[in-house]
Amino acid sequence: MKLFDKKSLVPFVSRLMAAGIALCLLYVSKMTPEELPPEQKEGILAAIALGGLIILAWVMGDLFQRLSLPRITGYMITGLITGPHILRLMNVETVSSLKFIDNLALSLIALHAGHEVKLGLLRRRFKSIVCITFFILLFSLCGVFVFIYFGGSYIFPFLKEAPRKTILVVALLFGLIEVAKSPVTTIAILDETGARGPLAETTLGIVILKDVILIILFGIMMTVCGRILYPQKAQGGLLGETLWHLFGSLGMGVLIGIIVGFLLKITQERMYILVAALALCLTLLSLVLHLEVLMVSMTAGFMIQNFTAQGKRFLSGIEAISPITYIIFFPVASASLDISLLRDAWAAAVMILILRKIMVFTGINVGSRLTEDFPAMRKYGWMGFINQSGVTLALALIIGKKFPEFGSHFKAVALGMIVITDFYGPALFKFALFKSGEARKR
Amino acid sequence: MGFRLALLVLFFLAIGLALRGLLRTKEKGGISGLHIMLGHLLALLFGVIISPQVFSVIDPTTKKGLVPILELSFGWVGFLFGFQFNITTLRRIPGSYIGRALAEALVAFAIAGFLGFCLLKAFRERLEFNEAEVFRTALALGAVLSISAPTLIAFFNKKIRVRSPLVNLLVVIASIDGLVGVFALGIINVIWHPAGLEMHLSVLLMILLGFEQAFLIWLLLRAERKAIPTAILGIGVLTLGAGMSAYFGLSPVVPGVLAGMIAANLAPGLRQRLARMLMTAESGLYIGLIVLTGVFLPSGLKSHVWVGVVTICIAGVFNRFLGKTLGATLVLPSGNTGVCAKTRFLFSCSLQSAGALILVVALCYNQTIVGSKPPLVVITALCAFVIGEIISIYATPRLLRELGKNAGTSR
Repeated sequence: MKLFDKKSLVPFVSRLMAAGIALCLLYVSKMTPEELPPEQKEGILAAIALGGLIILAWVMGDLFQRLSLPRITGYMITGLITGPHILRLMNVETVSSLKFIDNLALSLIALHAGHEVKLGLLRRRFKSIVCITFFILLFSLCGVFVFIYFGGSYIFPFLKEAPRKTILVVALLFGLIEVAKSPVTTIAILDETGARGPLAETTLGIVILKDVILIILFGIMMTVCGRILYPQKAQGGLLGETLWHLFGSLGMGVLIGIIVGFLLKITQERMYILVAALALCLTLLSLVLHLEVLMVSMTAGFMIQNFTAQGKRFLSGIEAISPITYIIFFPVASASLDISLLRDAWAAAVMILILRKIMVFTGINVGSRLTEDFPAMRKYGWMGFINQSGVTLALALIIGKKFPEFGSHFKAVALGMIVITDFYGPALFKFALFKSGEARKR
Repeated sequence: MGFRLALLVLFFLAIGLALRGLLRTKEKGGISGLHIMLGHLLALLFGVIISPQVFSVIDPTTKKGLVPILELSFGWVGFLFGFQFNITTLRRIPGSYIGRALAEALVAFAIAGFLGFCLLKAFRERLEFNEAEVFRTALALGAVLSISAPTLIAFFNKKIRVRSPLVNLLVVIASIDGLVGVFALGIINVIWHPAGLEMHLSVLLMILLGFEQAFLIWLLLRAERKAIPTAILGIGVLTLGAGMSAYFGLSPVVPGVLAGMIAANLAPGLRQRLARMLMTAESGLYIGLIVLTGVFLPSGLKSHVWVGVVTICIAGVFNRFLGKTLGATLVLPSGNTGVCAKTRFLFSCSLQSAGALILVVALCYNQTIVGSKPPLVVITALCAFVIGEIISIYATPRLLRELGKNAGTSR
């Protein structure tokens, strides 16, 4: 599609006009009248923000698609611009009121991600997925750790006069969060491009496996770092919490997958309604039982796909509902990113990001050479592991809270990296899928 | 909390299995409509159980996060209702049908409102209402209880397929009589605006917001051919419009109805795509709305208030039945060409089905105007909704068979 195609120009201009009206209404809602009942205020502002965001993000996504860029980059930029840190058309409370709907969308995307992991694919590509994941983890963790441990006091002003053990902890934690890659953006790009093939399958498999390993490592690492920094404090709780997060989430996902498989067999209701109801139940359950909504939903999706006969029917429901989940999830998630933090942390963020790229590239090359994988993985594979939003953000927030002496600086650098990768990560992955010939849709 | 939740899951599993067995034995080849009623009751029960009042699965913070979905439901149902008013289609309906539909709704409104007023007067102290609140609530009760819905009638007629002028009249009455309730609540909203906005300003804002939604729909969707983008942008426009209405302290339903009326008369292609979008999401929205009604039922009322609420609620259901029966009796043809008493009775019973509109209008009234006062209108609407469905599920297939027998067209 050309940017200024005669036939599509008029509809595009009218959509721009609609976006202008939505922007004006969002601006009007900033001037909150005092008469608005306080118990309803946040909810009403959240409704306006959600409606406005959907229209604006769609128009922006359209524009990005015309520029051959991923729609989700457009969605993320919309959230970032209208959010509390740039145009301030939504305040922080409004964004946090949208968190429940955001979690609901996350659950739907995770169901889709889990559903895409087929046992046949895992068997076929098991060696590649495990081997490449191992080397990416090894190189990223060790590379970033060594870089920050020895150069941290030169790169980060907040580590200049810090004791050695603080530098050690910061290096360990940065090494860890550099491993994170959001499965949500991966599935969104795969969905947008309709990609099918070894690169798409291997990337998704690695991203999900890395996510599971990351959660285990995070629990262990937080306990170890806590012991190093605060030896007098007991650190057992966090490991137990992590184990509950992991095994509780996996167990709940398996259970729900089995129940839903049975329910799907006996009901003839429209599939998108069941998928939406399932996502709501998963979100509520995760909220109440303090489980990881991403993990529970992915496991449930995996179970329905591989252990019930309802996989195809279920997929039709997910596919009907997924575009609306992307347009809600990505703008809301990026609206909470504070771009002003980049001002102080951009240099460090860029340096770590470059190092991370090199380490991921090396890890993929070593892993795929050892398993004699297809050449496209060596050439373009690294492009699928750029985007960090979601998991990294959650981990950075926990680290920020747990280690107050360097937490805010750590969070700033991590958020800086997320903001940077949000801009080009999805575009690079889309490019890789086109170059490898696996993408089907423009 | 884990134990409570496990109990909840077990409870619903047990109910689900029991229902499945019941439906299998009851509905073999039949069309009792039992599953609709049970499905709705279950959804309502689910909403109440997960609400902060009972198991607190949804805590107050999460409840706030659900407000955008609630506002979208208000806007969506209003738009769906207004979307019926396509001028070309309306021209095909005999004028007398439309007049009878409005007359039936006005009779039901007057009877339910007047009896409600008498009861509210009697329970004024128990409910801690002042004079103005008594009058306003009586009007709201009348408005809410005058609403009927054609969903169940259409469902049964799809299965039984009867061609008769009375069925057409029934569908027209059930489709159009909501107009009286919706606009009556709009007027209540304008008179008792929560922020005291002047009446002419409120009316102007309502109309402007209706036009704004219709204009946005036209701008965004006029060149859109695909179903999913149509649905996404439709959701965006309706959420924004409903949110803005609530922001100005106005009922999101009335601007939604206006927008629907305008959209129904846009280009035929766009109208068809919008109709497809509205119909596809209807059943999901319907169930979601019933769950939300359960979640948003306010609680924490004193016991003496509850006595009044329950009494008025039971009386409200009766008033609705009476109002609808009298209304239907008045508007049905009588004399030599008229219908027998049994058909007349079944006809009025079929009008008891209230659909999502009654819940939306009542919830909207509660959210916009009442605030923390007793949720009298919502509870009465809820009871009228449940009882109305039961009565209609019993009466509609019988009426259709009866009419089919007379006309010789039933399957």
